[in-house]
Amino acid sequence: MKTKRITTISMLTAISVVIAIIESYFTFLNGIVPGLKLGLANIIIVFALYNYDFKTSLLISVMRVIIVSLVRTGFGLNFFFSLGGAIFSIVAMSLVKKTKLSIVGVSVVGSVFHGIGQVLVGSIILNNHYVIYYLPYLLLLSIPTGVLIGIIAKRILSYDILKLMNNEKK
Amino acid sequence: MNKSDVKIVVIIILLAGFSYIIFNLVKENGNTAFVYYEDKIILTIDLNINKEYVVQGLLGDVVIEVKDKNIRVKEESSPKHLCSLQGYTDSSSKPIICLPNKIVIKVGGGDDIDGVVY
Amino acid sequence: MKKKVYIIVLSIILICLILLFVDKNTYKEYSKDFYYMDTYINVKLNSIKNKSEVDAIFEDIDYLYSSYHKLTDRYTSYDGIINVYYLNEVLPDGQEVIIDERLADIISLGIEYYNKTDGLFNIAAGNLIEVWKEFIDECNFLPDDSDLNVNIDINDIILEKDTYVKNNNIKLDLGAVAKGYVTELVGNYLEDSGIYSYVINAGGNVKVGKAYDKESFVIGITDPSNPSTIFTKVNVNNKSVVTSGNYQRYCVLDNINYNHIINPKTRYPVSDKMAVTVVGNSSTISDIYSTYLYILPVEDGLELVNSNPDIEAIWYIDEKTIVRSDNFNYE
Repeated sequence: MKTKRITTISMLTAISVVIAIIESYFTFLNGIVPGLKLGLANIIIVFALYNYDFKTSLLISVMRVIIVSLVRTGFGLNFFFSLGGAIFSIVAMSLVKKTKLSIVGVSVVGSVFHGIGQVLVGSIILNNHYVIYYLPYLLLLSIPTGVLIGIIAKRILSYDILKLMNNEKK
Repeated sequence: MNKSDVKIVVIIILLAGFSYIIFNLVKENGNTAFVYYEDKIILTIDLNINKEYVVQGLLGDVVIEVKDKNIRVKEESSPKHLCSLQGYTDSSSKPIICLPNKIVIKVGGGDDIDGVVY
Repeated sequence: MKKKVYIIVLSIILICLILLFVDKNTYKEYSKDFYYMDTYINVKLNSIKNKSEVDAIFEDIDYLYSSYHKLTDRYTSYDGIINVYYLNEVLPDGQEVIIDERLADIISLGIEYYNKTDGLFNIAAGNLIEVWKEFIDECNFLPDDSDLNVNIDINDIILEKDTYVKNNNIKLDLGAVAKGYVTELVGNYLEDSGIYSYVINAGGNVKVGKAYDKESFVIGITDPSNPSTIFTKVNVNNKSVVTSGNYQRYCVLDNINYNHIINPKTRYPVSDKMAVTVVGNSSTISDIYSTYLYILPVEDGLELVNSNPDIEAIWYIDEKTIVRSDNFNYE
């Protein structure tokens, strides 16, 4: 059981790292908000949140931020930026998961707080509140990305990957 | 997607709209740009004059260009050149933020000055 | 059912986006930059006119500045135009030439103010300005008296209506009046076109109309000791503000600041003050007076301005000494 958990976590982390790295090559959103990411790696986080628990998804999320920084962006300000966004989004999602919201709604909330977390960390690091002017753009953009992530995560969940894995074993 | 999902989306749109309107009410479309390093103003730029400026960021020189009342970061030394990708701005509701260099460029009137004689 | 919800959400997003970018303001601000007379010129105006109407106005302004730029240019010749370059460098002494009446107008204005300012404002000082300009650019060998002993006698210019004759190789320099003169024309043109709220900034030579969404326009006056900042502001409507100072074009040699404003009487750059700013009704007059007051000793200038209700002035002598005329009351 333990080995399986470790394997799954590493697999999911690996996938989310790959998604994040691929995404980091798409810079077309930078014209709107600097450093803005679609956050497609959140697909894995949403999936983990529904399939496992808060702790597991938090672990995957933090590991992803560390690994992506390690291989691509370095441990500069971007690291804190991403970390802030990741933690905010995951805490918010786990809080609203128990409400009537479907997986799409939860994912939208996650996206919104991903943006809010980035803005907050940015304000603190730069010691400059002007970063907050990006909030409306971040809020609006988080809707399509949140919906997209939610729908993809739902699709993945419907395949019941765990069952597939177990079947393969037999 | 259920009813509560739609509700939350609507709430977010309203929030975005509200914050946008509020920021626009307080925004200054000035002809002066303030360049901050962290929270300190290190340079004040008259946007009426097309010119290039160089300031010291955390990672090195940041080249700022003023053109037709707009301001942008032209060149910078940072891994991803995010703030030069951001392009031009002319209003305080769209500051240019260069995280790795800790430089923020914000347009404003300051004391709401319409012109400067020199 | 599901599809419907998505369509509704998407259309809400779309509507919101459209609403955010629709401009509800009918009074719009327009701004355009020009580059003439060695300086950036910015014209900013508030108007209910639409963009194409304002663009046509900007085109006319461009034409005004460019044609006067060509006429008053003393360093370049233009095909088919008799300009200051032609009068200075091509026209032989004693030969009559018919000049453009717009140019004749500026020259006769210059002669008029030569008499009014007792010769301190001299548009015929081209030869002298040339000597100092060369020195300021190189900044190594101070010109001696023989270099400075050039002809600046305005009586060597004879202008009768549009007929211009010069003698003894006299040279015109309209630099101290041309910018102010055209800026005044542009301001009048805007008012004739029904635009009353405008700011024209011709390289620090500022003319404003009537502010429409506030009490008045605020014009900052550059601090000569620290030119990236301002040391005071004036709140004005329908005024022209012009500064003459020693911090724009200058050269420091042996700790002495030699700037581009030359006193035609002493033939040396003025050095007793750092800047003078004039607030007046006309951009032409403000421009001429800023040069005149810069050359004139402060006490004489103060007396002059205090006896003239149409002009206000502030003298920045040095960091510690700032003198205001009686009617210069702002803040």
